Amino acid sequence: MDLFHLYLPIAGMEFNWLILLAIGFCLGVMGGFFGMGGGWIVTPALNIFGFPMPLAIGTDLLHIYGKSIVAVKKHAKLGNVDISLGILVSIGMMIGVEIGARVVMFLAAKGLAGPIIRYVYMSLLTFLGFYILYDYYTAVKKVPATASSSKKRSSNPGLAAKIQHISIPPMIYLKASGVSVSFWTLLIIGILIGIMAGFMGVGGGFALVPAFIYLVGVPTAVAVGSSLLCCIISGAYGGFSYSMKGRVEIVAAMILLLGACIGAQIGASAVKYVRGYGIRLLYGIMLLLAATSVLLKQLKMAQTAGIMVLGSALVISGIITLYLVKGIISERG
Amino acid sequence: MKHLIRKEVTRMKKWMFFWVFLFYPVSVWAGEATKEPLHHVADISRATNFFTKWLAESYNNDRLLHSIAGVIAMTIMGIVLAYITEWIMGMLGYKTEKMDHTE
Repeated sequence: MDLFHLYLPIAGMEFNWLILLAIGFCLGVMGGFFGMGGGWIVTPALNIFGFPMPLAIGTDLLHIYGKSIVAVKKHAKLGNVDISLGILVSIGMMIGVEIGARVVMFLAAKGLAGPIIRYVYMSLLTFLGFYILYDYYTAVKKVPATASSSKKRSSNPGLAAKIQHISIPPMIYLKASGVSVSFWTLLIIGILIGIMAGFMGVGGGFALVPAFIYLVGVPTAVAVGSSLLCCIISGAYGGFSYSMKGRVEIVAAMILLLGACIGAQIGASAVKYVRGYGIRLLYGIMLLLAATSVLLKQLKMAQTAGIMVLGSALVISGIITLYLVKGIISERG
Repeated sequence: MKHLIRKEVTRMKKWMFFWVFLFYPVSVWAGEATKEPLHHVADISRATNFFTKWLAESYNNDRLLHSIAGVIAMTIMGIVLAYITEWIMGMLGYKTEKMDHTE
């Protein structure tokens, strides 16, 4: 065993801890910079580097829990966390996470977890990649979004109002958000997003924030802070549940968390210096490359897939870090 | 210009349809499904330090203790890292929670 290899007892393999640190660092930089959790890169990356799919999901969920603690500390200071909303949705999320985890274990027993979850990831990453490229394209051409999407946006408050008018008791008044909503609405939102989180090993923040804003009518800042609280509770439960099923590599989760915390500070600081939409183009391309690498893994080309997913993530994180260093030098020099 | 954008979006949608509904399912079908055992035993003899040895032992003998230890370890690490990173960034003159995106 050399200096860079670590024995992971649950995975039962020697693993280069620098790869884990690099994955954590990249997702931290991207999460801090783009404001998206980036958790959906970790599960496929771990799977590409040799973790079985359920183990990759469980490890990702546990590391998301630790990362959310770091993030929620900042938001709690600003008073952006609606505790009642967070706890009530988390109840649903815990149910959903457990359903998702049981589906994964069922698929694993049949030998289908890897291919099916990889398919879901390929589709999601492709969708996100194309969406970001589309966003870049419209921003560069200085043309507002198409008429259909603006119509959709204007109809959203109406949808929130309709959902708020569902008055199946018990009705809950969310003090920090200033809205009343049925407990069942929050529970159903939690269960649906929880299933996705438990099945894919994501925090669910990218679905929770729009759901809180458009379906419940919560202000944006409170939606972001409260979604982090949900990620803490559901991440802790998901990590615990997968661990009980023997599918969490705690050592790997700790290294990922360390890398993510360092990266997140760099990403969050770099937003001050990086201008223009060019970086978004790179991000969109990176997501498409990540989808391709999952495809390569499925086609038994794990080595190429590993180089592709980690290489593209390192390139984009390196560019963001470079912008930060250049910005600091020009500011102080 | 709007016409061009619409054309571009239609082209992207066609590509997405091709990848998501045609190519990916074929790749999943082509890839071999491997059945993995649902319960396996951690190999304690290969653990090199006290921490990994303890993790492997608790994994084999007491899954509940192992799971609780994992959650507690991440809680402690999360809180410690939150304070350390905030302190370091503060020393460098950054208050990340006050930063806005400049794009």
